[in-house]
Amino acid sequence: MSVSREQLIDELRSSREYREAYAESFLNQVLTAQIRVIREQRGFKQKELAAKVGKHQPGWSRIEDSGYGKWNVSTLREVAAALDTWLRVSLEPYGKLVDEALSLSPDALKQPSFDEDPAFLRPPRAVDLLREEQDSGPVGELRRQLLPWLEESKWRPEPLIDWLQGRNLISFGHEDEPYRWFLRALPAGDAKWSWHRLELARRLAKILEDQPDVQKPGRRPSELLSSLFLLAAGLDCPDLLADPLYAVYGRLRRGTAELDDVVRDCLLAALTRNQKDLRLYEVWLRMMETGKHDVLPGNEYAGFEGVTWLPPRPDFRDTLEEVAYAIKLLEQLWWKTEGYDEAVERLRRTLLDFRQRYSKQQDLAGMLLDAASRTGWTQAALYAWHVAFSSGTDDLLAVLDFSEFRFRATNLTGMLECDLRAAPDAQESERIERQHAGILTAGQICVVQAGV
Amino acid sequence: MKVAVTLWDFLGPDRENLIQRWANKERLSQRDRALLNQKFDFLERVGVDLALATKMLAGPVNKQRHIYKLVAHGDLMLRPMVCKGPPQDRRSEVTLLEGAVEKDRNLHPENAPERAEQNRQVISKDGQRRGPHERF
Repeated sequence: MSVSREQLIDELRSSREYREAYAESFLNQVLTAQIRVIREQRGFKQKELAAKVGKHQPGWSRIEDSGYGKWNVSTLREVAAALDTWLRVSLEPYGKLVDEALSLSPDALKQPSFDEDPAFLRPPRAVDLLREEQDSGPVGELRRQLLPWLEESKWRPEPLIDWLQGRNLISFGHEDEPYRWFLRALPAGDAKWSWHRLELARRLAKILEDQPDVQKPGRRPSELLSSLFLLAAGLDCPDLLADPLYAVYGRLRRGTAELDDVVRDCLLAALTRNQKDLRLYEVWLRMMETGKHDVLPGNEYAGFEGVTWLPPRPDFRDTLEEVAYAIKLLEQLWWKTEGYDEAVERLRRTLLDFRQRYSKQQDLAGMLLDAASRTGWTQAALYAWHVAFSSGTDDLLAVLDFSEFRFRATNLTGMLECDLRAAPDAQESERIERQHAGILTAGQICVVQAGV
Repeated sequence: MKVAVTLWDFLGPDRENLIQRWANKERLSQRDRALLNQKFDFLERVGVDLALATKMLAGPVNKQRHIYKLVAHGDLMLRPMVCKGPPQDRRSEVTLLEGAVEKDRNLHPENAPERAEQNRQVISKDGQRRGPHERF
């Protein structure tokens, strides 16, 4: 089984000699692997890059050899330049070694060239985008109004505050609130509008930093605040919005800001969708455990949704563990109550949304039985459900046909026999047998449970 | 985080982990253990192709077309023998088959690649002769 964070920390703690050797080997491996990965990313052959740094091909081959370990900074600087990157050399604490060792992947080693670096991309000009604008309806109209404002370098918040209250804005009719039209005008996932969407989030963050919850701007401050928070929720941009939203929550908790229930509801949505760390985990747990919270108007579902929107952890299984723990809590709470079926259905819908956000996560087949062996069916159910969907099949029971699954089940059976032989007495032997039977059937039950 | 490769160890008929037995017999130092653990952690996360490209894995060894050796320059020149798979997905599984070290450019035991191939064939026939990889 893959090394856990705790296990790696224990090992590095065991002796200076151990951690120094691990770190040295990690550096050699990662450095050579990164040079290799970036070279292939650029489409260069070893010979071509060797020529760039004044070496022959065997010289470059040595640079990509993890056993070599004798690079000097000057050579590495040349290598970095040849690959259109810059060399960074720094002294790091061992804690960072743990994070990096656990989050390593070939994709994480890739780096864009200067021309591909998003930091240096020029924003698309509104005038060009609008020339191509085909939409003559409200969305197109709104873009014509919004984009030039987003490109103003010396901008003022008043226009956005007015627009969110429906003032000085094209007429949409009454079918939807202005913030919804903003989100339609700058749709997520469409690269064409991504720069302007980020800029809107950046400006919204600035407005939130001016403490609108305390200053209460506009004629109807409650409606404005609701729109600001719902726009923040829809933008789903934690890197920019998490801190200012958390500051609003902090003021609310300390009593320096007062918000009515509707506004608090909107704040809750914004906080849920904009988490960049685990600061709110306690809040979600409290909602799930008690069905309420002393500051935010959340119930069990809100708590659960909050957990599913926690940022992904370096080890994705930690994320799954948190969600699985939340399911377990709620299952205990609702088990044998009248609303159980409805509650499970709501959970399932939230989980589907969660899955869509993490659809790139694959390779969870093996985790199913690992999870079942360590904990209970809830964890296993979650994994099974992931496996079923990530395998690209609609037939959830087909999971049982995974050769991986069957192979591991066979291995577990083998382990059971071994454990039984080692059992000191009949009682212990019975306990082991019960536990293993549970593990194997949990694998099957959970697939059914997860795929109802 | 996604794991690219699942690691397994070869087991004896009594399910004893023979890779651990080798490590204990060689009295691996802290440095040796750290190097092996780091390299297998790396292999697990980046996959076989990149491990081969950076020469952490070398092979196939001698005439055994399924056997590769992991290269770790510790206090001992460690060369545990591994294969992709078997018998399941050869892209996403690696099995440690036989412990070995290199002295004066010769493997010890000398026939480590052949023994590794025999062990590979044992596992191909009997999936229970391998268990989850244990750390050094």
